[in-house]
Amino acid sequence: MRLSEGGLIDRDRTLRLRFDDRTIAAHPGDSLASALLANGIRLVGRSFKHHRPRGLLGAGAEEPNALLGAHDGARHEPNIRATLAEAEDGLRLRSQNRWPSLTWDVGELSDLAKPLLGAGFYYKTFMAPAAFWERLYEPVIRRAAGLGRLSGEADPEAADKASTSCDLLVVGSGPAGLSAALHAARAGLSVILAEEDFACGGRLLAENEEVGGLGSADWAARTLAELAQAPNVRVMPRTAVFGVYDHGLYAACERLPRSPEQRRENRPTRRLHRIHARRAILAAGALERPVAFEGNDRPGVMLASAVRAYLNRFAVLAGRRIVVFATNDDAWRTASDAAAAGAHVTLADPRPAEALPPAPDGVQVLPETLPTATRGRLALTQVHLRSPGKSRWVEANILALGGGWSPSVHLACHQGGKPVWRDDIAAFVPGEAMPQGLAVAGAAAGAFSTHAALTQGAQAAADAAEALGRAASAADIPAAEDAPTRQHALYVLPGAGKNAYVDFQNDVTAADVKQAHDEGFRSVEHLKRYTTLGMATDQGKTANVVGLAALSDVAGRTIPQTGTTTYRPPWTPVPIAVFGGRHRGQAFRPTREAPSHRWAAENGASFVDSGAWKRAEWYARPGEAGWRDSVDRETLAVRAAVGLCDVSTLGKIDVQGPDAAAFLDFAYSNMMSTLPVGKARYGLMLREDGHVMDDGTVARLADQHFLVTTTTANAGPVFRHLEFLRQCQRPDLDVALISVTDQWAQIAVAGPRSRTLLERVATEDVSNDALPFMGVIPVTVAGVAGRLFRLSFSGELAYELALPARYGDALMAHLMQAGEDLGVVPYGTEALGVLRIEKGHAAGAELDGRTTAADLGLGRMLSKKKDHVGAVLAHREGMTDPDRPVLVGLRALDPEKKLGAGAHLFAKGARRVVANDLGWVSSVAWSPHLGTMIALGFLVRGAERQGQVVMASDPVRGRDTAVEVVSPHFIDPQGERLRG
Amino acid sequence: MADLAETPADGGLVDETFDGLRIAAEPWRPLASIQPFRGRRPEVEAALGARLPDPGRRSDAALHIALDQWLVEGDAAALSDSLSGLAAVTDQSDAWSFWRLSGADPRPAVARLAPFDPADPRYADGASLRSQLARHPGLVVIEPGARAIRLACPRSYAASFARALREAALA
Repeated sequence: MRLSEGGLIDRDRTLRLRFDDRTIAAHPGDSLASALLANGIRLVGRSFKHHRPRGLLGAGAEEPNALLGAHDGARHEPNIRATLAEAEDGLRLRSQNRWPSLTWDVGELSDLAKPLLGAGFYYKTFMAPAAFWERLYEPVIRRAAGLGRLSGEADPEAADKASTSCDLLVVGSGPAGLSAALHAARAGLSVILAEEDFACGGRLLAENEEVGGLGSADWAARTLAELAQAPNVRVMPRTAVFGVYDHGLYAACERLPRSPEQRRENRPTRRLHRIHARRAILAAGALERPVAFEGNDRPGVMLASAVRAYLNRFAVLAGRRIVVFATNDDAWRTASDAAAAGAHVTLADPRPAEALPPAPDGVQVLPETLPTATRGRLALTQVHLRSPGKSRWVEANILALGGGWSPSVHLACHQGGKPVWRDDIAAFVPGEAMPQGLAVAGAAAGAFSTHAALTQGAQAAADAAEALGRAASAADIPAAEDAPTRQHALYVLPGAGKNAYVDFQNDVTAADVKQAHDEGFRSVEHLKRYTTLGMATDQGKTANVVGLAALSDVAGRTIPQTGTTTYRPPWTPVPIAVFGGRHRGQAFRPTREAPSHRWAAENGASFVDSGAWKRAEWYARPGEAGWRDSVDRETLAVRAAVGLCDVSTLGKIDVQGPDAAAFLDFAYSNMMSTLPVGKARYGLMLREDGHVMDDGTVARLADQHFLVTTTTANAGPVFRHLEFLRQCQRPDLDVALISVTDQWAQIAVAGPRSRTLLERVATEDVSNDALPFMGVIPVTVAGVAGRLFRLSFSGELAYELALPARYGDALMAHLMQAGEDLGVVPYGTEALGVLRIEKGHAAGAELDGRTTAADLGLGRMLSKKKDHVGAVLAHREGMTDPDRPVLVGLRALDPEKKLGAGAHLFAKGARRVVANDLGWVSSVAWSPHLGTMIALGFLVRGAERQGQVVMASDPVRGRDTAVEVVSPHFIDPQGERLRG
Repeated sequence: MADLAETPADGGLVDETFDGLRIAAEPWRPLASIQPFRGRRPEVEAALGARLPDPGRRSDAALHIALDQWLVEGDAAALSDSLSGLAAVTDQSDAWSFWRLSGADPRPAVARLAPFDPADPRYADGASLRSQLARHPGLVVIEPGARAIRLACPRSYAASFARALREAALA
């Protein structure tokens, strides 16, 4: 129930939310959890395995029960932690893991079957028949157990990423964090203060105490106001720092509240921050833990600190009749605050009377008393208390458990550090092995008083300032609560068994821990995997120490002897979408457009991905029934007239310098230093292991100036390879490399009428005498200076015309207009492929990293007059084996039969086994020129088999095609066309 | 003689403002790369009349863009003549797409594209940094005081990068 005054909420505004079938009221400043509690809702979910009714346990990141589904349809998000999410007007919430309703859940029957569902039951049952596992058992188990469900639709919410840096990252904004940020800011450090809650202040918002003469929340507000004014401070609420990585890198996930308008604008609702922090302070506080006893999981059983937080921060009294079970003095504050708010409070404490503080006003104190059982089906109604010589049932709708505090050491242990146990506070604290540059302050370090936290925060900030070469600011520690920690170590109460829950989220009981131990799972890591203790969305924040204690009890060890499991990121769940960020759908990866892309799109091109490039694959014309019609037309037009293809995507590397020629001699297997100025040469590049890496052309533009082209796919790798050679292998050579791929629009002009077309557009003489095959000249087209290369990939008389990229679209239009009466057509990559296969040019499918120069019929290109990359290993045994498959042409005997790349070659009648494998088919095309399927492939002793028929066997596609072995040059084997 | 129309390198993002942050494509202008040959940097600087900035830095005369590599405004042919024998010069006028981010603080938007924080004090005096930008190869030029930041990508990535740039501008 909401109290009439108090709390850090805006009572002037009322928000309306839906929870299942109820409308609930809330105020700005409310969490979903406080809103539910204020509306009298104590049953918020069903447990994971046993479907037991569950209510709020905590008030922060530790909450294991109150996981809700938010929003409907595609926006639906499961497993929202109600304690950290803020109330929003109109928000639609649903409880999870129940059917047909939260109150009446059929799954509750599984609680009756609990004896069958003990630790690791699924490892021991449902074993037979084997076929039932995937079809029956697993689906049934998955349906019966679990948390929320995904919508199954694409998430319409956007997420993005950001990089951030600072001198000091402060994780947590409680007393230690605020003190650290304040002192660091005053010392001039750039500070990021990250807080996972939507409001900063940590426990200062949840306590009824004074700091520096102000209410603790007021002191926090005043401090935050000072930080907000500081230009060197960035305060980030709703930001969970969830992982620590190498070199001071911290990962954080920020939730960004958005209006409907902002969502329509596709603004991100979450952001992944990569924070590079020179120093960091972990001030994440501590998590209170429950104790394990029979029936400790009923709705109404809460952590004592949570009851206090709802009361002081949200003005919500969790119940009228409250039993507090305190194992330390801190939980007494809950009894005191609740009584002051008008609740009937009974305080049970296991310690003897003489060890207890004075009884707070209005609180009945029961020394040496333990809770041993509870009653209430959907909500707590009674607590059974046992004192020496007396036991009784006490009416109660809230049982507040103060089992002790566990420092939030997680981030301090993300790089392998192990926490160490302190008996005096019955808790693990960070050990000495910490991430470099990270310090821990306040409750996270085991200093639980407010004053100690303020002091440690200030000291950690001073240490950080000193480490960064800055003068620390004067320590300014306000007066604050400074009570000593008096903790009675108690985790699992006597008699705890099958209904004494250790891990609320995974339904692991004290009996499960004992059973696991009895079955041999005695290591804490084995216990975790076998029972799922400490797994799932809360990662055992309230469960781990109690679980360790339960295991220690049955194993006869101490808790430090038992040890902890490994701490790994993330500290709190992070949606996978956040890691994807904006890189989804169309933006999954960057794309590149060729200089004539716009013209191509306007002229009917279909585009195909070629690496990052979008390349025109064909240009459909009206009346064409399919892509083959377009490709056949384009191919025949190039053979008969002239075609244009944007080949700008080929890599272009400018090579200059006094040693440029020597460098290229080293990089290529064939000689480049003898290339005359104004000429181009085909070049073959080997890897160090002697296999072919790439091919292309090298044009000599001036004595010390070359232009290297690469295949489209290998543009990046070849440039990287050349840079490696320049920087590492041949630093003796003075040579400069730079990519000019994007500078030039390069259009292939191919076909018997190509020269005629170029004569019309070029100012310069492009006759065979002026520009012979493999020549290069400067050229001017429509007043624009460029280069004209006489190169042919198609086997036809052909050129490549290069102008600056900004003219790419216009150049295509200009050439099309100038060649209209010549029958000029644009052609795409499919026709390009057909043309090159007809000509027998090797390309990516042949340069697959496994072939040698000799395999490709280019063995003579390995110069013996010079050293070059791969020169030695190209001649090693195996590389020169005469039985290696070599490049051949293949021609289908039956034009109706299909042929596919990837088919393997066998002698006719041979069994299709590896021992009989003679090679493979690498590239295939329908040749409109020859009227049949043709292919390039690699065949053992291919040269000797010319004229023979072999079988291309493609069991994947169910094809077996007879092919004739022919020369790879299907057209113009003498090269008369391209030299004409 | 036919005139060839120029296709702008803006990828469709010409001049737009997002929450006060103006993103404007820079008009075409002549750009050239300069790579001094071994031991010739002083002569190159003398010929240019300006010092070439250190790695990761910018100056009014040049941007450092890679190992021993700078980008300058100017006609490549003319520079090639004046630096003949001293440096490799290439025309890069059409190789890059540049946008200028100004108005509201441009650094948060750039921080959503780059794997580094442009607000880091080490960049306060200006910087020229080759970096991935939303997985695109890119160049970040931070002007002194970070009043404006220029972003560049290879021209072929312009449309793809413009999309990423618009998204990053939405805080």
